[in-house]
Amino acid sequence: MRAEARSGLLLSAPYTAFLLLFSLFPIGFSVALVLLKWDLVTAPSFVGFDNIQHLVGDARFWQAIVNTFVFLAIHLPLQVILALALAWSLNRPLLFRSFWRAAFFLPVIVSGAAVTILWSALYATDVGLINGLLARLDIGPVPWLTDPAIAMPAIAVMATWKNVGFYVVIYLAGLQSVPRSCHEAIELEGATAWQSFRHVTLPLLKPQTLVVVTLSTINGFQLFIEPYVLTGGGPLRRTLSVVLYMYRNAFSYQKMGYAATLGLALALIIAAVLVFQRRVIGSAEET
Amino acid sequence: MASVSFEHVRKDFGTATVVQDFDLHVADGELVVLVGGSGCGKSTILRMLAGLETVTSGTVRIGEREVTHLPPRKRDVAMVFQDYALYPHLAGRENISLGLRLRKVPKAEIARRVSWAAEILELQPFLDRRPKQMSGGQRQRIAMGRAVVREPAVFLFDEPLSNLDAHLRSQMRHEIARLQRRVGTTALYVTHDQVEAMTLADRLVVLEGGRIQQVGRPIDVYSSPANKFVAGFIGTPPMNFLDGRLEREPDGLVFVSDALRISLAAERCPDPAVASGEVVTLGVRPEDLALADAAGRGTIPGNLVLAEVLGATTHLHVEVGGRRLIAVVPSGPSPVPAAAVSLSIDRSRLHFFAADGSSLLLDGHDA
Amino acid sequence: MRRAVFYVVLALAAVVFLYPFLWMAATTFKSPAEVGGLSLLPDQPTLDNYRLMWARAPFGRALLNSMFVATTITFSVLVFGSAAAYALARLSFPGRGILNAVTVAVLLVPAQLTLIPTYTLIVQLGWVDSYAGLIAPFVFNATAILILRQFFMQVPRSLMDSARLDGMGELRILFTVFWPLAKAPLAMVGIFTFMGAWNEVLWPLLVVRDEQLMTLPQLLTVFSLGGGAGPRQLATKLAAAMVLVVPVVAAYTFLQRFFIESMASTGIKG
Repeated sequence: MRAEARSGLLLSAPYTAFLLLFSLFPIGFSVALVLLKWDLVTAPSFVGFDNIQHLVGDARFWQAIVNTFVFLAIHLPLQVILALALAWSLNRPLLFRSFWRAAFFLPVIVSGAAVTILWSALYATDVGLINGLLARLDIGPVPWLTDPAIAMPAIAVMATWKNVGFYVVIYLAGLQSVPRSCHEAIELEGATAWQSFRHVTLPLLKPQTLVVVTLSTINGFQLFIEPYVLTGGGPLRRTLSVVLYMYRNAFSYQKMGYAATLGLALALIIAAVLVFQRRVIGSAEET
Repeated sequence: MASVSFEHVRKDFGTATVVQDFDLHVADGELVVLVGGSGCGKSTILRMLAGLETVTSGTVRIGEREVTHLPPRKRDVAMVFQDYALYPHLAGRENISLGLRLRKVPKAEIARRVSWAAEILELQPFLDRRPKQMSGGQRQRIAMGRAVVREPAVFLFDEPLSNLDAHLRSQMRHEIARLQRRVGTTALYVTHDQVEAMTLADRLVVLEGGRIQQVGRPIDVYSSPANKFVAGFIGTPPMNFLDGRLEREPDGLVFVSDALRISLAAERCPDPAVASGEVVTLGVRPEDLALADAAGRGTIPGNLVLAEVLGATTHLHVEVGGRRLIAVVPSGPSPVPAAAVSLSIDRSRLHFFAADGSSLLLDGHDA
Repeated sequence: MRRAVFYVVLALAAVVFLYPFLWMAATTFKSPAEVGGLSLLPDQPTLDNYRLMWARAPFGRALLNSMFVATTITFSVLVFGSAAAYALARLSFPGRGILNAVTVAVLLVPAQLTLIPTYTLIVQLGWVDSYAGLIAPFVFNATAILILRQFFMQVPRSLMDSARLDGMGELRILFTVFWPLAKAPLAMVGIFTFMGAWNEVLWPLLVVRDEQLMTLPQLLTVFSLGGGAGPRQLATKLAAAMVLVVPVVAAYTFLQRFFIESMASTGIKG
């Protein structure tokens, strides 16, 4: 065999082995696991479609799905609007621009665990910062994490705070790629600032908006550490996320087969949602 | 449709003054071209009229209205940009009509105007394409269509042809001229290309360093340049310049330089008040030089360095006393490079410039 | 003067993003009575919270664990990953096309799908409660390989050819010719890989139960789940979080441009 081919195979062999072991095998095995019942200690047993049947009727699973949609309903619009507003504000000659940008980006790089603990302190009912500030305005302590109706929205706000800086950077790049002469042209045509934004800027930012929505959606479906630390999935399972439920099934209940089923279902749901989003955003035409 | 006036307009960017004391009145329906090299301020002046740049001091009027501090959207001007500035996400038709839609013009009226613009600019074949799918010339026409449907008071053109290839440029030049004449709207056109300037303008404004060098009809600017800059800028190939001095001799004024002596014709002399020994620059256009049959009185001896045959005319590069002159002559049997040649000068078409660049020909003296 | 409005808006936003960190830091130095207050300067600063935190759980050990794991992963991704990227970019060998396609395809698969099967694999390999278990699934990173491959493809072939003529082997070429040219993408990949590994918490929570082997975010999580919600507990938990936050913020203050460029252009978040 040629020397180059030999070197190529040698150099890529470790990676190939890795892919086989940690990518391809797990994907394939996940499908197999769906059909098994296994606690990792005793031998696995074949249970056919039991796991799937259980999933379909599992109230907890569907509650987790609903919870995720509640999260997204608040997180997505908040994310897009805030990121766009901040990026638009930054897109002009300003002093300390890199400072503002760095400030917004800081929560992005801090570990999710640390941010979650920080917000557990912010949201704490009695000694938390937010209720402390509200107390100054004579607003009673709000049970951010203990009220079933408020808990998930509260997590959505926290997730927005953590990630918006990232999308500010993405939108900023998009805004800077809109040619200045397009804005000047539409200004001469009689457009107000808002009309210019709506008819020129916004349509041209569609690729960025798609990225924001897609990544935020994936993020929403992957929620784990936030409910795990802040609420344990409560109150009344209203902040239970699919990944948290999956983790519990694997780690606490030792039900590998069912956990894998949850994982597969989640992957399929995410794919469906993303396809739907792409259709909606891609086809929204601006006149 | 309206006139345009600039009164004592000045523009500073920080500590640099980019436009100085600019005065200009453009009559209703006129096509005025601002021409000059880069950095001369021409685009800035255009953009101040559009409202895309602020005015440091002075007044800008469109018609009777003072617009100096009005935002662009209130000025009723339409602009064709150098990079066309088409909205990438809209088809040609929507690009043209967006402005009208924003102003809530009735749909029927919009349709009428768009098809009128499509007709005079021949836009039909690509009206429904996106800018990405159009050629440079097509995009430029859509940009013009967008300006035209607005029926504005003034058209502004900011170097619209610079991004097109040479052939397309001359074609589009004709389109623009035709369009402006047909629609009759006052137009201000900015370019660095003096051919565009000469062919399109009703009047030319030559700019340099933020100051007006000369305003006038193209033919007047060509034949009576006010200073050395205008003389060298207008005309291709550029005017030949020779530094020297004037000497008063018994039979008249003589121009003397290290390369040659030319007795000046009485009808075409600098101001007689000029003193003998005065330093002047002689200017002679390449088209006013010809090949003399033989050396003789009134001819300039030189060596042919290069002959560029362009077709009907040939550019002869002749070295005269260390300087290179260019002559434009009809093509024919031409001498071989390095041969000795003689050039004859049309003495009735000489130009003279003082040390400060200003023309020394009295007003009224023209060829 | 419209510009002033923007400064106000941006300043307010900056406060919203930065103030909580400052408050967190201040709170860790407060005694229970002061916790919850809004002031950034405690009247009676105390180190008790840090002392408690340090004594209750092996944070020092966890810090070392995190450093070890993150560094090893980053090293592996950079060194072995660029070897693979180099082969994919510049060497022709049978199966190259498939390998490329699989690398791209793998990125489309959500992590949730492979989480449980990979976990069972680690259990079967006996790598629970071991560094191997923490590191193994991350020694290669498809995104990193794609980025490096993209970059390597743009290195002129002539450089490679002249190196070969000089008698250099492939590995030599990779590390002496390609690497110096690839400082920017390597730095970028290095940063997001390190940050990803440093912040990873779900995987350690699955495969590690021994407190001595826990990574810092993991120990922090476990630590914060215990104890009540009283002011002392709050301040102690925040003190623990500070151990995780401060090094990162310190690095970020000096290198923010690199962080932002690295993570924003690769689409990877912490």
